[in-house]
This record gives sequence, structure tokens and C-alpha cells, in this order.
Amino acid sequence: MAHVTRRSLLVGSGALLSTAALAACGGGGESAGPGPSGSLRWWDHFSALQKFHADWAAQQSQDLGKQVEYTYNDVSRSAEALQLANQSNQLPDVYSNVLDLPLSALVAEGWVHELQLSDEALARLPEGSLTEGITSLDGKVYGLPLFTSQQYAAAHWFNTDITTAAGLDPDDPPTTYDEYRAALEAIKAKGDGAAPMILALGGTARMREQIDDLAQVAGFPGFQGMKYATGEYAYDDDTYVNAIEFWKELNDSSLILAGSGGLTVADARSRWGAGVAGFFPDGPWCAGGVKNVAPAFVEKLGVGPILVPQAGTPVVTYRGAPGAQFFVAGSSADPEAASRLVESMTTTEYQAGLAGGMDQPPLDLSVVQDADVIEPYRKLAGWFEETVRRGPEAVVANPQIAQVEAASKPISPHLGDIVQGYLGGDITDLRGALKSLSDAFSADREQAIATATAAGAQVSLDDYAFPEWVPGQDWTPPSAG
Amino acid sequence: MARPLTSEPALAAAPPQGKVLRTPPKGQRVGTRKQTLWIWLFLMPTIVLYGAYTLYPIVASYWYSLVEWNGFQAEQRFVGISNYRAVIADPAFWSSVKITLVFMLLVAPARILLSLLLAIALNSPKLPFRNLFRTVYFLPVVTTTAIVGVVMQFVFDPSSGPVTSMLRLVGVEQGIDLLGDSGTALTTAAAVYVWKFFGITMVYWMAALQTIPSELYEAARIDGAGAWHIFRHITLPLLTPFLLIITVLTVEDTFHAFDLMQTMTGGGPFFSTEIIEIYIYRWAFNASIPQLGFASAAAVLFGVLVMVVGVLQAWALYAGRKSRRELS
Repeated sequence: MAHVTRRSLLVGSGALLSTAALAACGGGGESAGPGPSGSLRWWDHFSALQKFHADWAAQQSQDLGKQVEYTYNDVSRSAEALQLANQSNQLPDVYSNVLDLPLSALVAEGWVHELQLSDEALARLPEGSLTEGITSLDGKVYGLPLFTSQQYAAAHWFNTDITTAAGLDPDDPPTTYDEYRAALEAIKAKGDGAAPMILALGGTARMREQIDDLAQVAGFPGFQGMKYATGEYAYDDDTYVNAIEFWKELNDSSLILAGSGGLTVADARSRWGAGVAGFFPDGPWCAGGVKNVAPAFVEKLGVGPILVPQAGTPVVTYRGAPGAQFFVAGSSADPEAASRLVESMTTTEYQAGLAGGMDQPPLDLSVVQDADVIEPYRKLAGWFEETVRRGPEAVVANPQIAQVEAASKPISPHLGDIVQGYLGGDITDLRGALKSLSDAFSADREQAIATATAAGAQVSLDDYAFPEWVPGQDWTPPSAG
Repeated sequence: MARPLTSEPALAAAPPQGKVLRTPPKGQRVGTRKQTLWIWLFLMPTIVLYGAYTLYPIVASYWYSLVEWNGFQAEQRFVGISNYRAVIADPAFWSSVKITLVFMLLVAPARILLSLLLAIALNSPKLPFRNLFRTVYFLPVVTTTAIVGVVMQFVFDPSSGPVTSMLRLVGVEQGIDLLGDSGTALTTAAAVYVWKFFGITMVYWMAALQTIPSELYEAARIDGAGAWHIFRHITLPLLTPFLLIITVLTVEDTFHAFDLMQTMTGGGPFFSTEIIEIYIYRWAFNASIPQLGFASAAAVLFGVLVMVVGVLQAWALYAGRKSRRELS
């Protein structure tokens, strides 16, 4: 056997290390686009659909004759994961849309590939599913909408064991601020150790959504702080102030679980599923989320609709057109197979499974009525169908607004931060903080419009005003009118 | 047999005294070149890794700080120093600077003094199980920081955590939300940080204590000095040079609390624990549209702050060595 000297050992080790380092540096090309064996990679962030999507990937592997590798990423990490994947040329073939960029920017940057949907697949989509500027550009479809836009994030889920013990009727949930406060007081008075409600105050993005919803149903004539008729920002409107003050009052009355200040949505839902609180404001996906973390708790679920300040207030909220949920990567080595995978999501079988996952309701809300879902979820889908209307969107009326959206910058502190700060006592002048928020949004939009105009876009502040909008009715885009 | 790095012929060919050597003989030149080659070869892994993972990101962040880029789009628009202007004009940046400095002021003295006292106790040969205690106190240092952060959320849970349970035992019925209240979150995080990392400072102190000759203690005891006088007139003066270095090292260390803070509080509630590292991370990765240029400008400014501490560190090393030379 050859004698190994210390030097030859070191030289050999160095050579091995160098080889390993070179191999690691050069691995990107092999794993870019499809997986190493020519498979399709599919990433998404839908926690309630993890099992269903894993099963669907296995089934599609057989149907497509190609391995489909499904990966779930937590929503808070998904954008970062895609950002890093793109920079290292490893975007998955199919991915869910967590990018806060307009479709035109994604197309221009090569993030997305045109979807090659068959006529049968297009026919299966409900009318109005595809919207120019949102899912399509120049008639080409780039993003598949999966969920209905007829939904809101501020439903009031409750633990029927706790509410029943407190003398509340699960079939007659609270619908107004007063009724809700009385229900929480009843749970507190019962004194069984459960908190009346839990709130994910650490999940500031969700807080923002829920206060937007509560303000809207209380009469705010717009969405996300912007009035439909005039296009002006008015977060300091009474409807916003009152909705936040309502939560503040509940918090100050110790009706919200102590420690909610730092809870993320997932943490809050897990704790609520463990039976620590009676009520939990959340979106329709709550049922699917709970099913994932505490299956035994699903049968205890009850749900109430979004709350209105006073009895008799008409319940109506507004949402834009259905967004694009799934894209095929512009760098996909096999966009045809990736498109077929996305197309499979339009089938009745997938839509039924999607409804059964109890995440966001599917595009065709009527599917929920016959799907394998719990009764509260079915009831909530029915409320969505009755109360959520189509609201105006600047980018639909003028697709060039996408350039303004691309030039916009994030605003901080945001509405969710302000809610957290006000409930925690860090903000004392709520209306002042909301006014500053409106001003910050207005200033940012003005700079974004200036940037877009300088780049040749035909846009102006007037694009955000819809004086013809009629409250309580579906908005009709100009091209469809 | 392995060949020697300096060859004999080169030595044999040394010039006679009195002559000026302008060019080394050929054999010596070859030997020196080979030696240099080996030195570079062995340095190469460090140079490559340090270059790729330290120097390149530093240089890249300087470039990114001068462009507007969201990480999603290829276009990096050169904007000069406007990112720096925006960072300096952002009150949240100065708030994070303030929080970082307050955190440092809370943590560094506690870490240095507590670990000194513990090191003195653990350095005593009379202490039973001192090796066990050393291990126990050092254990948090080797525990994964992110896991400590997550576990501490449960420990301080105001509805069912063990801290709340203990408070209930002493009659405090309403749980205190130590991490969820902006008035207590930073102090609580600082306490956890001190517990997590004071073991490493303790090791520094123990190493320093072992440099003090035992004869000095014996002589002092023979002269009738008590524990306090020994500490005051022997231990403390001889530890002073180390105090400078340990202080600077600890202060510099407190600027890197991202993993613990991110997992324990995420910078909240309402930004009350948002140290600069979390501020940078928020704009680089957590914003709806990432602002990598803006975040890089904040990172460069943070780097300047750390650099100032680095200069102090260099000065402390110099002063420490000088002081030790004087003492010896």
C-alpha cells in the first residue's frame, strides 16, 4: 500500500474540497427549471390544501407521465423563497402568486409564461374569471384564478363547546358589535378558564385585511382606504376609526386573550384550536387550517358573519376581480407540461377537492354547496354569495395603471401596524395616525404616477375615480359594459 | 521522505560577508517560490470562502445601496445617494438605531459583570462540581438561538407560560405579557440574550483569571489579606487589560442579535424591539415589494456603526497589550 505523507494527505483533501466547492457553485444549471430528473416542480403557500395538493401532484405525475414534485412553503416565507429561487435560476415550474407586482411587470421580467389552456379548460372557468390586466395581457392568459373574489377575512369563527356552555345559540351567532360584545361577556362571566376571544395582532397583514372589511361593511365607500367615487385616500374616515375603537374596547375590557399582541395568524389559530378562546376572527380558510393542525376540533367549529356596527346596517362588501393564483415560470423547461398541470386545476374533480380543503372558496361558489365540507363553511360560502359585490379597480379600467403599481413603494407603518400599536397603547392619536397613513399613500401614488408617466404610461389620478359607481351593486368594467 | 521547504544548497550558496546580495541564488529562488506557492495553496480555501461569503456581500451591498431594486425585476436603476437620504429621513431607522443602542446598554454591562462574578466563583478550587457548573452555564451558548427564541415565546406566554404560573403562585393573577407589551418586550429580550450568551463572556473571564499567578494570591493571604482586598488589589488590577478587550468584544457582539430577536418578537410589538438588523431584513425581504437598495443603504450605515466599534476594539487591544507590558 502506498505511503501517505502528511503533505499528500493535505493536497488530496484540498483537491477534494476544491472539487466540492466547484460542484456546489456549478449546480445551478442542473437544478434550474425542472427537477434534476426532468420532473415538474410545484410550489405553493396554501396551508389548508397541503394534503390535497400532495395527492393531486401524485395523481398528475401519472397523468402527465412526468414526476410532479410538490412543495408547500409557509406564506411568510414564500415571496422570499421565490425571490431567491429566481436569482439563482431555480424558479419552480408552477408556483402560487405571492408576488406583489402587477402582471405586466411579471411578464416583462420573464417571471411567467403564457398558459396554454385548452378550449375545454377555458369553458370550465366561470364567466368573468379572466380579467385583462389581472390574469391576462393582450388576450393571452398568464395566471389561473383559483379562488372566488367573493369572500372576506373577517368572519367570526367560534368554539361551539365554549359558546354553548356560555348559553349562546350556535345557530344564531352575533351579527352586530353589541351582540358580539354581549357574547364575549357571557363567555367571560361563565369563567371556565377560556378567554372570550383570540386575535392575531402580531399578524399585521391580516389585521389590515380585517379592519378594511369591517370598515367597508360599516359603510366605507371604497376599499383599502381609497374611496371608489373620488379615488382619495381616507383611512381617517369614521368607519375605520370606529372599527378599530371597537377592538380597542374589547382589548381594554380583557375580552381578548392576554398575549394576543404578538401572535401570528398561525399561532393564534393553533391556540384557538386547542380550546383557549371562544371566538376567533378569521377568513374562510380557518376551517381548512384547523383541519390541518387539530382535526378533532373541526366538529366544534361554528361561524358567524362579518359584524356590522348597528342592527339594520345592510351587509355588503366589495372585492375586485379574481386574482391569478397560479403561474407557470417563464424559465420552465417544459411550459407545456406545466400548463397541463395548471389546467388540471380547472377540472370538476380538482374544484371539488379544493372546496373540500376548506381554504378560500373555489371560483364557482356553488360547488361548495355539494362539496365535502362542514356545515359552517357551507353557510359562510352562502353569505359570501349574498353579500360580496364586485368593486371598481383602476388597473382593470386602465391596464397602464400596472406601471404605477410597479413604481409604488411599501408604506410603513401600515394599517395593521397602527391597529397593533393602538391596541397596545403605543399610539394614542388614532385618527392622526390614520390621517398620516392616508397622506403617505397619496404621496406615494403621486410619485408612482410621475414615475410611470415619465416612462410613457398614459395614467393620471382620474384613473382612480369611479364617479359612476353605485353602492350595493356589482361594478361593470368599461370594456364589458 | 518529504522534501524540506528550504533547500540546503541555497544555504550553502550564501555570499561571502561584506558583499551586497542583490539577487538570491537560483536554488534559493526556486525554494522560496515553492514555499510561497504552498502558503497560497493552503490559504486558498480561506481566501475563497472569505471572499465569497464576506467580502463579496460587503462590496455588493455598497453597490446595491446606490440602486433602486426590488429583487424581483432585473432592472437596477442607479439612484446615487438617494437611498441614503431616504434612510436618514426615515424616523423608523433612527428608532431602530436607538433600540439597538439601548439594547446594547442593557445587555453589555450585565453580560460583562455577571459573567465576571460567576467566573470568579467557578475559578475557585474550593467549589465542588465546578466543572459541572461551568458546563451548565455554558450550555445556553451552544443551544440553537432560533430554538431559544421560539421556546421563550412559550416561557413568557401570559396565559399559560411557566413565568405566568410562577407569578400566580405569588398572587399575581393577571398574566403579564412580557414579550407582547412594548414597555417590557425589549428588557425581556435583553434578559434572555444575557442568559443565552453570558457563558461565552464567562469563558473569556476564566481564561483571563488563569493568567494571574497563584503565587500572588498565596503571598497576599500570608500577608493577611481578605477576599475583598485580594479581589480589589490583585484580581481587579490584573484583569483590567482584559476588561477593555472583553467589553469591546461584547459590545460588538450585541449588535448581532437578529436570530434571537426575530424568532422571539419579530421586532414587535409595534416595532418596540426592532433592532437595526430586523429593520434591514424587513425592508429587504418582508416588505410587500422588497426594497433591496434602501435596505442595503441602511446596512452600510449600520456597518459604519460596527466599524466604529471595530476601531475601538483595535484601540482596546493595543491599550490592553500596552497595559499588560507595563504590569509585567
